Amino acid sequence: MSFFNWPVQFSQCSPHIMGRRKRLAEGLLDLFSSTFPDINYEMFWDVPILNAQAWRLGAKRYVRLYGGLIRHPSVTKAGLALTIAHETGHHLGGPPYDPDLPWITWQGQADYWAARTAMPLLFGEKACNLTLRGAREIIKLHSAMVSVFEEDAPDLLPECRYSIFEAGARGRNMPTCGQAAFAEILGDSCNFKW
Amino acid sequence: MGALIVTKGTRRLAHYLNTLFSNLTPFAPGGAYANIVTDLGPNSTITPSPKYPFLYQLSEAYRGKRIGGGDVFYPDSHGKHPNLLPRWKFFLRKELDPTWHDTIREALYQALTAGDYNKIVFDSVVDSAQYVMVADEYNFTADGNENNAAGTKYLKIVLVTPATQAPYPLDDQTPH
Repeated sequence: MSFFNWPVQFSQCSPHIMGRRKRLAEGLLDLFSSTFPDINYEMFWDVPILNAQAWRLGAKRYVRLYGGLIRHPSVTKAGLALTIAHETGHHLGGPPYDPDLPWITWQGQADYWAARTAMPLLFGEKACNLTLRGAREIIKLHSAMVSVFEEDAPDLLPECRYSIFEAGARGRNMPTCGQAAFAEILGDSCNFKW
Repeated sequence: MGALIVTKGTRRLAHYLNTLFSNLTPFAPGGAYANIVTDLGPNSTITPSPKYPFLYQLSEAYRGKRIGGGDVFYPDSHGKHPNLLPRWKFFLRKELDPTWHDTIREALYQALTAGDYNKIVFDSVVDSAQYVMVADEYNFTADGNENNAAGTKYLKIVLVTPATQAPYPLDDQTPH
């Protein structure tokens, strides 16, 4: 239940900057929406949590971007784009699926798909640099959160996430840390072939 | 719930509830959890009140009655997450509107008595308002598409809610 302990961001930035960030997010969501028309992209500007979500109800698939993340001063266009790509990857990233929530792609695979498939599709030759910059922003945020809320996901540490993003951006296979993290979740029942 | 960042406690709770309802056989007539279905229905022995709303009472009524031991609706307490259960109980008692207790109750009863659902799954989404959404879904095939064959239908219950204001301290930060 994801409503526990998510850090929030109450930004002090000026109305001008807030407006610019909002327009940036809107533009990115429009871009993703036109590229992946089967996904419903939503912005919840007034929700201050530092996160984004992918969820599904019936045949409809949704991606939500929350205002706290959009307003965070250390997250730029690169971080927001990679975040939206990651959430899209939960829907379109394919197997392996999350063992606890099997209607979505597993976290690490969503990262990999975002870097390997979605970002190049949207940003062409700029994708690699944009992905690596966005990955650094997300990992910095992720690492900071470890110290402020009820533990982070044990299945995917920030360092491993960066390796996954980098592998995807550079066209390499899923790194061993990602494979090991997924195997650790499944335990003895893991027989997924990468 | 796919999210940019997922918490361990979140995963534990979702995992527990989704595992509990991953096999509906114990909820069938004569099964170990058949009384739960009765208590979800019109002949329930549970009378909700503003102080003790339905799902909270149901959860408390079935403490210690899990197959194999433990509480039916609560995961076992975990040394690394001592505040997970208090937060969850606070949410059920104080924050989840009675309307949505009823919606979840009716959805569970419908799925457990209809006979054509193979499981019930839960998800949660953050919003500034609180509501509950319910829909039929189908298992995925290997290629990621829905498999509409008989026996693959399940009920999805999505809890949409603001973040809880439960006044318990955060748990230990140390990874384990």
